[in-house]
Amino acid sequence: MVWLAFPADTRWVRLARLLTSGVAAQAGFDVEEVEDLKIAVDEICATLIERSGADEPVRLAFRPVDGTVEVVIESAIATGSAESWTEERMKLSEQILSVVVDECHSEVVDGLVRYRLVKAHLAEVAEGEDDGG
Amino acid sequence: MAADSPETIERFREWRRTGDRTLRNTLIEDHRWIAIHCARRFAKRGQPLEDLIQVGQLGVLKAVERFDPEMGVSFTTFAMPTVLGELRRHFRDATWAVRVPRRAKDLHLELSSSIEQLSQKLRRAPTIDELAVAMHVSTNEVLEAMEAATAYRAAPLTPPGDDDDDEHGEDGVTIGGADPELGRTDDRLAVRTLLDHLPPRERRIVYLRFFEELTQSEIADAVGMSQVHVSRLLRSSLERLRQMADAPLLPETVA
Repeated sequence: MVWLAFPADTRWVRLARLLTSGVAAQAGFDVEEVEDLKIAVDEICATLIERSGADEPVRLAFRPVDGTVEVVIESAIATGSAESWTEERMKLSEQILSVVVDECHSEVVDGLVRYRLVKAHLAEVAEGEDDGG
Repeated sequence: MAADSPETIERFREWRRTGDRTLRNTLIEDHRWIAIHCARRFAKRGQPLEDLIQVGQLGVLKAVERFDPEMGVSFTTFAMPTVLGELRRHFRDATWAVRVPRRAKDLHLELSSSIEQLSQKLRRAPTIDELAVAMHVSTNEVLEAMEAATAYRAAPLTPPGDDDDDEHGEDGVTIGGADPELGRTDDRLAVRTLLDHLPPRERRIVYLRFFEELTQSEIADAVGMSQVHVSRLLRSSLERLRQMADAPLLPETVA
């Protein structure tokens, strides 16, 4: 496991992206898969920072296993931040995340928002298909 | 600040009543001088004035969309803090670009061609390790270079909705304007409004990646630019979309 916690400030998101790319590289991801995972982490960090209280950190935990990276990102949300996204913004975010990662779920428990992402390196799958064809 | 003319006030009323984008764009253009005025205040910080004016125009856009002529203040008074805020945000974000290590900036120039060469040779996207070997650097340096390539604000800050001026990419490649495909389903219709905030090239790239699910390399081939450039434009476009969103909230379940 690899952990990172940083203040809810967009200036720290670059650090999260760098760590994400490092973990993804360790898992053997290609450049596009690395970029995809960074986009997902970027999107979620931005979302959490917008809703987080000023003193609440954003925490990330990475678990790279067998060419797959699982990322859990969480932060406490600020009181009064429960307004809805505009419908189009919400749907766009859903669409982005559904394309760039294989799994993405979120939950809100006791004021804590937690996202769980999973992305797999697909080269082995593609090569297997090529061999079979 | 000078009061708005009766014609201007009437235009704002009409825009609020109808939501007519042409009218909105006219209002933005009418008040372009505010963007110029504010941009000049930041002109000695090492960035082209024209870029700063375009950043200011984004502030003017936001102000136009929020301004209520019945509030009793002039549009100029209302817009100035928004435009200055947009410019300050621009410099705050750009600060990170300045801090990108020099070595990473240099390597990022090499990164793009290395990705293209390896992609052709391998007939797939290269891994980070493969890039590191090809570029004779460490994997960490490759990662830094990737981040450097996308760390700075590289979006051509054409005023959103100003479609007529941006039918050509910066490489001179015509890549089309609005995407009628976006309206195919209700969901796509819902995001259409948001994507309309992007200039045509960025809108198309976002659409191809997140709705047609083309890879960055496939998009690069389709629009005639490098994968690194596509990556950079995707990043800046998503950042802009987030900025345009008013009251964010994450969905309960997203996949």
